[in-house]
Amino acid sequence: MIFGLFGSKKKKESIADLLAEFLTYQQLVGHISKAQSLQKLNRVDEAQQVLLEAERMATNYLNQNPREKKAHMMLVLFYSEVGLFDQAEPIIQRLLNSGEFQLNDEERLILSGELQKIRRQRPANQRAADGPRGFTQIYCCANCGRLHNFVSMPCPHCDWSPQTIEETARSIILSNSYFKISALLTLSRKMANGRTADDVVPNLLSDGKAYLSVPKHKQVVEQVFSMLRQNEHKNHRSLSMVRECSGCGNRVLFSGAEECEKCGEAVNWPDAIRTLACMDNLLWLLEQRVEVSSTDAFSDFVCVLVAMTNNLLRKQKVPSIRDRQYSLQLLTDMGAVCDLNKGAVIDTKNPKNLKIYLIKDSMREDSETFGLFLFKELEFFVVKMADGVRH
Amino acid sequence: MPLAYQSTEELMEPVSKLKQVLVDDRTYSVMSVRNGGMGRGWLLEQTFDDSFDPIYRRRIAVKTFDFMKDERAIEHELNIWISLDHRSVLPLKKIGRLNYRLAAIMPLLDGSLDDVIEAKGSLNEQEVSKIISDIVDGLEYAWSTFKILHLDLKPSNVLVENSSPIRTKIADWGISRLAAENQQARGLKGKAASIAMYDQKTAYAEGTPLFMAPERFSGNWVLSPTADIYSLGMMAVQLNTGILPFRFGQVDPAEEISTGAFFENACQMIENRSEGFRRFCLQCIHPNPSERPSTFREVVTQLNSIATRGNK
Repeated sequence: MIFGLFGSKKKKESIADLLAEFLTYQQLVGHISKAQSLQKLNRVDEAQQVLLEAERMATNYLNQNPREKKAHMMLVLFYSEVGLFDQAEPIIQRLLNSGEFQLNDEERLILSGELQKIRRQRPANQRAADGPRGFTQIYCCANCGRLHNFVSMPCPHCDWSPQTIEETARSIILSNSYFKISALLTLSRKMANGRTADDVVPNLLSDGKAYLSVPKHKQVVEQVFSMLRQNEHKNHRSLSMVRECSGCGNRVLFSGAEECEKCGEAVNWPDAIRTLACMDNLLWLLEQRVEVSSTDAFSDFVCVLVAMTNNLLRKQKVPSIRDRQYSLQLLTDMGAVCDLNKGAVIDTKNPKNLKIYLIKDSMREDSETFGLFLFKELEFFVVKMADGVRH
Repeated sequence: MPLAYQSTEELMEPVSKLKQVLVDDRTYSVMSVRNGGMGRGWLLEQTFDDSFDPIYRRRIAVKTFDFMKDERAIEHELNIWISLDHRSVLPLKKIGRLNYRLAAIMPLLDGSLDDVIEAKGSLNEQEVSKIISDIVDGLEYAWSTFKILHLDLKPSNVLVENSSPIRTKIADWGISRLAAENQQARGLKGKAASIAMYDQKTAYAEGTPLFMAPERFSGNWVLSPTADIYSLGMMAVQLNTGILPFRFGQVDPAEEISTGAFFENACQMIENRSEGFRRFCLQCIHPNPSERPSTFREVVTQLNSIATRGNK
């Protein structure tokens, strides 16, 4: 009864949660928010000044309290928030591995997660050979086959989430930690044609069981499952709702649509939703139509697209300059994106001047339709990556 | 349905039926929505018991903008607002997004001076002087630091924290202006300054007429603190008497502004107030701008002398 009076202790999920009651952290967040706001107003120099001030604040605190783990965490949070992952990584490693700090299980788990996230966000050419594959962790939904970013939240495409520990283990396996991106795309394509994940992936059921038999894995699965149950409906956003026509409920197809193709209702989407629809369309095309390539650039492009879609949908966070530039670089590196059977080929070497070629000998009945769809969405995507998302 | 909202249409408009909105990565329940000229003000409360965050507090206020009107005007407001950092100015905590549209996130205060007038009817001279003094403090800061004038001062744009004495914060810098001769004002350089200068010609026509100095209707006035000082005087009269010096229903306020009749009304309304307070109010709302205090510092000096007398 007495516990009820004080409320239940909330589970901490991030470094920010660990530092929440820390006054210097609160001031630091104020500075970071101000800098981010100034950046949105294109006042880059002033934003830089505010960030320098924030960095000074965090380093001064650390210099005064070198033995305090929270002082180190604060600097990690600062560097992660501003995208200076190279500087955040050694601090986390020191916290985790040096033995200088006593960390509890919760802190260790959160810091390990942050380290993994940072390592994944490195461009492909800067990743260690034994490092994690792909720009971010991506999963193939075991229900609908679409690619998404978080196994600990319902799928943003179909709202499904694992209902048992076993299903959670299988969902974790269907990720780029265990499969190449090209294999996940093939799985996605086969599932869209009506097959189930268990059917496409041999031994998935037994692999799931084997996975759970490793105590360390089981602990992770149980934690993910518990987060899923806790957060299933909390702050959930679904792509289908965002893309719905206000008149008839139909899914608005094209990112640049001015009106619903079914009922004619005007589509008054803000730029952020148009960008979201565009990235979702591109992802669908990569899953279902585009000739899958096994190059790093192609794989990373899929991952970056999933990550940016997730950030925009769930956090309303528009793609950062870094991610935008990286996306354009990946398009250049890919050289071309081809529709099925190479019936339509889009030259992406110069993303700002995309060219589409319809190859008569390899064209299928729908090559022109899908080729043009892909071309239009890529064109829109390039504009958003080059100029940024407007208000 | 376990989802935060029902459809895209509900995400966007009409707002009257909206029960929940998305603010960046959090879901908030709508406590109330107020429509303004440039957008909407949202008073929100966290739907879920999210972890503590210095920006996304349990209760927040958010302003969204009507981008169909003028995108530059919105950038202008945000540019001014984010530059202001003073205890008497409502802080802009973050530029984020509400339902995928640009939004300004700010702390939720207890209400505005409008609510104070509604609740208390009127305030005594010392209370009014303290409130006006706090506001002038913020205006003086904006003017001396950036050469910015507010130009839409009124009780609903001054937010209050319920405390004793009442603490105020100036909000809504939507039509504020940089003075023409100070494009290189400190801290607002380059783009921000040019945006802030975007439309000097229309500055005279914007604002809330009952709190706008008469010369602002003429179209050939020069930006100076006397415009804001007039609004301060009007607020002082309203806070002290509970009403504005217009004979609503009998005479068109526009006529009373153009003929200066409002000034005569005010003389009568506050004739039994202390000499210092009466002189302060009447000087501030004088139809002739050259008769008003010309600087915010002058206003502060006058207010200090009222407070000193009140203490004796």
